[in-house]
Amino acid sequence: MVSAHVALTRCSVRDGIVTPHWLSVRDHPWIGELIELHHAFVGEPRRRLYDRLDATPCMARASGSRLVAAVLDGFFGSEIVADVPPRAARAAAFAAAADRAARGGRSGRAAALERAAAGFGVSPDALERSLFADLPGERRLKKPAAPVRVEECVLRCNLALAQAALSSSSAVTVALEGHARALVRHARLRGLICTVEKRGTVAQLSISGPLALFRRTALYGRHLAELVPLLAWSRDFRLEARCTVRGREGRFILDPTAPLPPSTEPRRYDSRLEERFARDFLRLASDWDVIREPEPVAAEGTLIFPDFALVHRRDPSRRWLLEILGFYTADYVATKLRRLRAAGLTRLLLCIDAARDCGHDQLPPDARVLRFEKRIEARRLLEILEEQGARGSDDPLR
Amino acid sequence: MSPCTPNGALRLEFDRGTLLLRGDPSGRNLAELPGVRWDERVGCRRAPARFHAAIRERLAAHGVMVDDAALVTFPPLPCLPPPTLRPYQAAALDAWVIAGRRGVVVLPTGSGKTRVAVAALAELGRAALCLVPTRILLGQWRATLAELLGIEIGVFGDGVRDVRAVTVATFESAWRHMGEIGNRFELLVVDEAHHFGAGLRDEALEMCTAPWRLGLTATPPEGAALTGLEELVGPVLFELGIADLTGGFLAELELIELRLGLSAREHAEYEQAWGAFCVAFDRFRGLAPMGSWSDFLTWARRSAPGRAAVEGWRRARGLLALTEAKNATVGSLLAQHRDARVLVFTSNKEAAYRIAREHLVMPITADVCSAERDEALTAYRAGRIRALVSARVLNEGFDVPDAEVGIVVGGALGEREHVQRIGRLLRPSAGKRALVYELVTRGTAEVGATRRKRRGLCARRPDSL
Repeated sequence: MVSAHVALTRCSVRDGIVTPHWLSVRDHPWIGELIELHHAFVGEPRRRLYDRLDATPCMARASGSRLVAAVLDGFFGSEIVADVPPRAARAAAFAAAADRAARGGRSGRAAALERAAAGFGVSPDALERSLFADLPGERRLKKPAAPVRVEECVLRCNLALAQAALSSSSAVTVALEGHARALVRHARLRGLICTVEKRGTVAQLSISGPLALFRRTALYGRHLAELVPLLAWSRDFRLEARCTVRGREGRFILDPTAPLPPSTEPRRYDSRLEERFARDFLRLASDWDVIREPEPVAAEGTLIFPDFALVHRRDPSRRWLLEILGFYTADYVATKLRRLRAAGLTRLLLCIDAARDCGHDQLPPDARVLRFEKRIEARRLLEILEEQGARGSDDPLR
Repeated sequence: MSPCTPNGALRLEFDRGTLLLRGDPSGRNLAELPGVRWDERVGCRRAPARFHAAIRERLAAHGVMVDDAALVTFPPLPCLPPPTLRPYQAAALDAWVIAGRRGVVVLPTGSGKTRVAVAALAELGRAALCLVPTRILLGQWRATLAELLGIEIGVFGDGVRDVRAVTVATFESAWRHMGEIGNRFELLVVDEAHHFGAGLRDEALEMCTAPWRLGLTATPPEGAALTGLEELVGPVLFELGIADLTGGFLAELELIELRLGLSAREHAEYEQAWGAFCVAFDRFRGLAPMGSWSDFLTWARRSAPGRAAVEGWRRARGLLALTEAKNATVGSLLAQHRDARVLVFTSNKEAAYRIAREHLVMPITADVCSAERDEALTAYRAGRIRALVSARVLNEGFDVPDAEVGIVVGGALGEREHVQRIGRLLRPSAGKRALVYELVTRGTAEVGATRRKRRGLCARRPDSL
């Protein structure tokens, strides 16, 4: 992970606006030079590379060169090369040095190293080389697993830059089309508060932590920064946040024009539990389709994101929404049911983890609930659906 | 209102380091409660968790019924044996109790601050969370509390999450996880409390419901940071300095300043580097007499001479960190005190490693894993290794009662760091006389800096004993 301090050298604040100076094609030549330089030092202690980088003109000239060097560090990686495990070498050498017989200036040092080396069956020189071979600067630069491309390096730097800016923020607002669920899921998973409003085709998300109501805090910055790679999956987006760069505060805006790398596809399932349920249900219920992440439901000015929609193939009017709750409160369930009613949706099944039941809270009497322990019983759930179908009930919640 | 809330009552819930106030007792203006704000995001009132006791008190005064689901604390502790206290420790504890069990006790390093905390814990008999700045201190506090209280102590930090009625946590873990554990304790003990109050990591104290708080430090902050600390922990209630206790409850201290020169090569290099810096800095001072160091860096980054000045400042500091004369003197002093246990303090890691290599002294740095550090400290206490060298890790809370000789090769953090470092040597033992060598390079910025950082060693309140 590139430190925010290093990444923010490519950010400036002017008139209250945080401007990230994205790396681009113009920077390719000097970044290419740095990549070549790294290749030349493969197998060498990293400190030698760092010394050389300090003396390289482009490092002093190009703003963001430290950022690129930090990203390249990640591409190349490092390893410990030592004849004796460094920790064991240190323990032996310093103990030998403390021994009265080995004391007294340089010759005492040599005697201590000799004695410690003998214990490992290596030369004093080999022992001395091993002493600190595990320090960050002494680790040897590794050859990267795949060739490092300038374009990829640039994109990674830009991602680090955007994330560094967000890591100082307390709250963000995101307007986006499509794939809002991934952001909502991430926010909630990280214990952030996420409110959602639907404005036409655009979902307006406000994401912050509980304490952000009272003060600017970096407490949630790391989790807010993790939202950046998820944005690329939306058709259109605009993220805004108040950020602090070198002590100066400003508004940071991110939209699809930012040259950021495409992220990996968001995970299809939130958990093994969901994945197993979908598989079990499909195997059992050949007449039903399982739709993962159905369209969000607009209700009372916000959006509800059911985990699944279960739709009967021959009678699509038999469409149920399913939500799996690992943790809940009575208030939460009551609010959810109220909102769904307001949206004219009544067919909702709640699967509740019995092990994480909130004990003292009682569920609203109108909640249709299937409790589970470790695994959701697909057969029992199917029975409930068939039972409701046979009754022809429109409102199982009633 | 929550279905579980009794009619007319206000329900308090702990929500990730804050309090949610659910319900709306008629005729009450809840906005006047301390710390409370309306939270549009969830449609109810919210307050930082630290206001829990104050909110309860205010509601009780107004006769509002409260359904308090915020606290999930442990049952009261069994009767704990109070530790024996020295007179000044007992006085500090009394001051804390009289002040309503909220406040900061200032005592020099080695004078037994931890013992005051243990006494507070035994006196109160409630679940307590002790916050410490480093992983080394985490282990030390755990061992001390277990020994003096005779109960299992929980640990939250360094990869362990074991929460018990008395738990020790690092600042960093507390900052990250107080939202999960902040409602489980009634007493909050903050070691090295001067780290709080200035904004950085203050959230750890904001997000805890504990009404009783005890801060411990040898070097209280000043100005706005002190105001911040007072708000989070309480006012400074008791204060003694090193000079108040040396020779009695702390070891006698002998401070020797060794003024060393630069070699011809070093002198030329220093003059060039420092000169470049001074020219630019003087120019900046002319433009912005009240400008901060951070302003200077921002200004300097915009021009080639400015960047060269910052680079010159960096080079000069790097050079002074371990000059040839300093390095040779360290070797001589280590040889001279071959029978003593020695601590060497440097201003940066590079200097620490150079000393470690050349004089075969065990380095204690952030790069050394906690298991190896523990091994090294055990070997040091047992006398199997003679010296330790460190830039910052040994500055605070490192407990080595037998360390007798300190060599301060360089420092980067001024008066507070200096007081903490000297304190490492002052833990008393029979006939002990602590000896501290300060290596200062003649004719450089170090001379003034050394004079300034020594101010913290004077008595705080000569009449307070």
